[in-house]
Amino acid sequence: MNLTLSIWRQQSANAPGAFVRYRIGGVTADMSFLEMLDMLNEDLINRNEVPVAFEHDCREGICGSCGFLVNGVAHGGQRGTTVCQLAMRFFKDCDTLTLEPWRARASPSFAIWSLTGRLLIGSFRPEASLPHRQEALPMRT
Amino acid sequence: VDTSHTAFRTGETEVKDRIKRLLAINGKRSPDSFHKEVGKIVWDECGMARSDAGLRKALARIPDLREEFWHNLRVVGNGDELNQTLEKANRVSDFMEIAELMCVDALHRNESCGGHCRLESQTPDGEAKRDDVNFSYTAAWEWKGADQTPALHKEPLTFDYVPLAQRSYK
Repeated sequence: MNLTLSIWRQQSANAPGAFVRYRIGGVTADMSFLEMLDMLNEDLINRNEVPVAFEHDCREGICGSCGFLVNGVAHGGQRGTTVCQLAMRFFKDCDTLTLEPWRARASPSFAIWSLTGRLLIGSFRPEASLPHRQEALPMRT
Repeated sequence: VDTSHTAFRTGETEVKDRIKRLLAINGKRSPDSFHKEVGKIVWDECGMARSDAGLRKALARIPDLREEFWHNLRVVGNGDELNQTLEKANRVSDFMEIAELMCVDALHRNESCGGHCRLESQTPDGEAKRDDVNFSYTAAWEWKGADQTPALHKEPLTFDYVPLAQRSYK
C-alpha cells in the first residue's frame, strides 16, 4: 500500500507550524498505524531528516499515551480503538491521510490534551507549508 | 537537595556528556535498528526456553553490537529540544547493558525456574527441573561499570510451612 501523509509539524509552542507531506510505500494491512509511522521515521532518519514525534507507550490500547487526529477524527474513527490499535487494513492504497494533534481551546481537559498534542511536532519545513493552516491554534506546552 | 548539590552537578554533567557523545557518533544506523537487533538476540536466546550454548552465543554477540552502537549510531536533530530519537538512543544504550546482564543471569542459573525452562534442566518427562539446593535465593546484580563483571548479591529464600516441590504443568 502506498500512502501520502500530511502531518502537522511544529518545532515549539511559539514556532509556526505547518503540514508537511510525505509519501510512504510498503505499508501492509496488518501493520498498526504507529508501526506505519515507525517505518516513516526510519526512512526519515536514513535521509538525515528529523523524525515525526508522537507519543506512545504500551501499544496495546491500554495506557492512553498515544493519540491524534486522523483525517480530523480522533484515533482514526474506529470505535473503541486507539491509534496504536488502528490497523492499516482500514485504509486503502493511494489514500492521503492528514495527521494532527489534539487542539481544542474550549475543552475543559485542554491541559491534558495539550500535553498529548505537543507530541506530534518536529522540524518545521517552510517549503512544504500550507498557508491556510498557518493561523491554526498554536500548540501549547 | 537543590541543583547546587554536588550530586546534581555530577549527574547533569554525566547526562550532558552522554548526550553529546550520542549526537557526535553520526553513524548510519537508527536507534530502532539496534533495538530490534538486540531484542531479537534476547528473544531467540534468552526467552522462555534457553540453553547454555544459546546464552553463550548471545553473550558473544551483544558486546559486539554494543560496540557498533557506540560507533555507528545515527541520531538526527540536537539535544536542545524535544528529540525522541535521542531519547530512544539513550534507552537502547541501556537495553544493551540489561540484555547482556539478563543473559549473564540466565547462564548462571542453570536450573529451570518459574516460567523459564533451561533446556538442560528437565525431568525425564519434559517438566522444568528445579535445583532448590543451589538456587533457593533471590538475587540482585550490582553494576560495576561498563565492561566490568557485575557482582551477584544473594538473599536466601526460607520456607517454613510450604515445602519446595517439583511442579507439574500437566
